[in-house]
Amino acid sequence: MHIYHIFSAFTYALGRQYSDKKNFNADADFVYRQYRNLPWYFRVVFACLALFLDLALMKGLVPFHRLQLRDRLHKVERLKRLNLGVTNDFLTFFNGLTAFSVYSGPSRETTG
Amino acid sequence: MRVFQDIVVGSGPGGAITSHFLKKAGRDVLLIEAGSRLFQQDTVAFSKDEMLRKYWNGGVTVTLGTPRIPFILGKCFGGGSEINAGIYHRASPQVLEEWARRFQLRDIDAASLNEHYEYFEKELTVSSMPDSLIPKASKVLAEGARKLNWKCFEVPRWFDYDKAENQKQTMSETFLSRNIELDLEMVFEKTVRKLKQENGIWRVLTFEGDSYHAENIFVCAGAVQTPSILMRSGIGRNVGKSLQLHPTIKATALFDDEINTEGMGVPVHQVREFSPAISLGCSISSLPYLSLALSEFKNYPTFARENWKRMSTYYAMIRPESCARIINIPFTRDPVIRYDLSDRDIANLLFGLKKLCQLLFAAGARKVFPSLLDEKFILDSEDQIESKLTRVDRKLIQLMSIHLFGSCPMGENPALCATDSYGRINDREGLYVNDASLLCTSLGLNPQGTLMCFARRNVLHFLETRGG
Ligand SMILES: Cc1cc2nc3c(=O)[nH]c(=O)nc-3n(C[C@H](O)[C@H](O)[C@H](O)COP(=O)(O)OP(=O)(O)OC[C@H]3O[C@@H](n4cnc5c(N)ncnc54)[C@H](O)[C@@H]3O)c2cc1C
Repeated sequence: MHIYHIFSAFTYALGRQYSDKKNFNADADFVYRQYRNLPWYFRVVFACLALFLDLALMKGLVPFHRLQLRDRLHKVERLKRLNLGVTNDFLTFFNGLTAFSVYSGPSRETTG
Repeated sequence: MRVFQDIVVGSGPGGAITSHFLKKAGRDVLLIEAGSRLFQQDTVAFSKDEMLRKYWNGGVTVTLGTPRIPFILGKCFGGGSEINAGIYHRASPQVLEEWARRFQLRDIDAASLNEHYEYFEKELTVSSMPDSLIPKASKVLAEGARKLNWKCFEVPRWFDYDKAENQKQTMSETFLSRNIELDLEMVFEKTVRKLKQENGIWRVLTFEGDSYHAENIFVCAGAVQTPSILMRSGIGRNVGKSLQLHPTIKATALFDDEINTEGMGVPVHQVREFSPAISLGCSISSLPYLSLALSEFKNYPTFARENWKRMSTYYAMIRPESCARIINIPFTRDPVIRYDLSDRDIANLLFGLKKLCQLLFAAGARKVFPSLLDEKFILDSEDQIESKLTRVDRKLIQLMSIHLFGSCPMGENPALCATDSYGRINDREGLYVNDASLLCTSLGLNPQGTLMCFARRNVLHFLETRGG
C-alpha cells in the first residue's frame, strides 16, 4: 500500500474543518509533495508514523485510510485530544499544510 | 578536461554578484545551481507553486531542539532573493565595530563600505514605497507606534515602482540577467557534493555524478549548504559551528476596519524601539498564510476565511545569543541543524511578543492570536497580555526564521574565523566563500543588503589582488 493513500486520508479528514468541498485531491497532492520535499531522515520518521497511525487508528480490521470519512474525522479528533508529542508534530505538519493548501488558489503545476 | 578559471556554486545574491563581477572582468566562469532556471514571473509570489518550485525542501525543514524552528531558504535561479520581501538595511555601525573587534575583520571602515552600499542602492533601485501604495496593515503598525511614542520607520526595498510588473529587483531580474547577456555558462539542477584539490586544480563533484574543474572555487550556496559542502570536503576549522538565525515569533491581529487586500504583499513598516535586540514588523498576510497561522487553534478553522480582510500577521524578531551547529549526515545532501535557544533568548522572544501585542492593541486590534500552541493564549484585550504571556512553556512556542548567516565567519581571529577578511579559506589556495555564511554575527536586521555589500567588496578584492 502506498503511503500516499494514508496521507490523502489524513488530508481529507483535516481538510473538512476548513471547507465543505468534496474533493481534496489537489490538497492531498500538495501535502504529499511537501512530504517528498523533506530531507530523507524526516521522511523516514513521517512514513513510519503514518504507517503506525494507519494501524493504530483502525476500526475493526479496517485501517485508517480505508475508513469512512465520518470515522476518520472521529479518529483524528481523538488523536488530537491524546496530545502526544510526536503525533502532535505529525498533525501540526498536516494541518498547517492542509489549511494553507485549501485556502490557496490551485497550484499551476499541480493543475497542469 | 575543461578547466574553468572560476566556478561559482549557488546563484543567490552572493553567487549572482560574485559570478557577475568575475565574468565582467573577462574571466572564464561556470555557475552551478541546485535549483531550476526559473524567473520571477514563473511563479506567483508567496503561493503554493512557489513553495514547491523555489523553496529548499519546499520550505518545510526545521532545526532540531526545543522549540523546533522551521526555516526557509531559496532553491532556484537567484536563491533567496527570488522569494524574499526585498527589505533593505545597511548594517549598524555597532555591529560592524563588534566584527572588527571580536573577529578582527579588517578594512571595514564606513567610507569603503559606503561605496558598495551605494552601488546596490542605485543598481537595485532601493526606494520607499509611494505613499498611495502603502498597505493599511502597514499603516496600523505605524499608528500603534505613534500612540506609544515608539520609533517606527518605513523600510526601503529593492523595488522599481516605475515598472508595471516584476517590480522586485531580484537577482534573476538584475545581475543574473546581465550574466546571461555576458554569456556566462550555467548549469542547473546540479547539487554540489564536495570539492577536491588535485595538482593545484579544484574538482567539483555533484550528487548527480558530474564533475567540473577550475582554478578557483567560490562557494556561495547559502549559510547552511556552504558549510555543509566544506565539511564534506574535509574543511572544518570554524566551519558550521556558529550558524546564526533570527528566531521570529508571530501574532495575528483582528481589527474593526478592513486592512488587508488581495495581493497585498509584505507591508513595509518596522518598529525599532527595542533594536538591535528586538525588532517588530509586518508579515505576509494572504488568506493561506492567515489560515496557516490560525491552523493550530481548533475552534477557529474558518475564522481567517470569514475575517481575512480585517486581519494581518505581524512579527517580533530577536537578535539571539545562541548559535546553531550544522551536522552532516553521510549520503545525504541535507545536514541536520541543532539549535538550542538559551533561556535568555526565550525570555527576549516573549518580551518581544508582549511588546508586539501591546502595539497591536494600541493600533486598535480587537483580538490577537499569538503563535503559541494553545487557545488559552488568545488575547481579547491589552490587560490580558501580562497574565497570559508571562509564563509560557518553550514547547508551546511556535517560531520560524528566514534569515540565516554566520556559519563561516570572516576575519583574522584564528579562534573564530573560517576565512580571512575577504572570504578566502585559510590555508587553501583558490577556495573562497562569498555569501551569507561570512557575516560574522546576527545583524538584528534584514541581511541581504549587507551580504551584497561584502560580496562585491570581496570579489573586487580578489580581482585586484589575484585575478586581474
Ligand atoms: C521568505 C524570505 C524572506 C526574506 N526577506 C528578506 C528581506 O526582506 N530582506 C533581506 O535583506 N533578506 C531577506 N531574506 C534573506 C535573504 O534572502 C538571504 O539572506 C539571502 O538570499 C542569502 O543569500 P545567499 O547568497 O547567501 O544564499 P541563498 O540566497 O540561500 O542562495 C544560495 C543558492 O545556492 C544554491 N545551492 C545551495 N546548495 C547548493 C549546492 N550544494 N550545489 C549547488 N547549488 C546550491 C541554492 O539553490 C540557492 O539558489 C529573506 C529570506 C527568505 C527565505
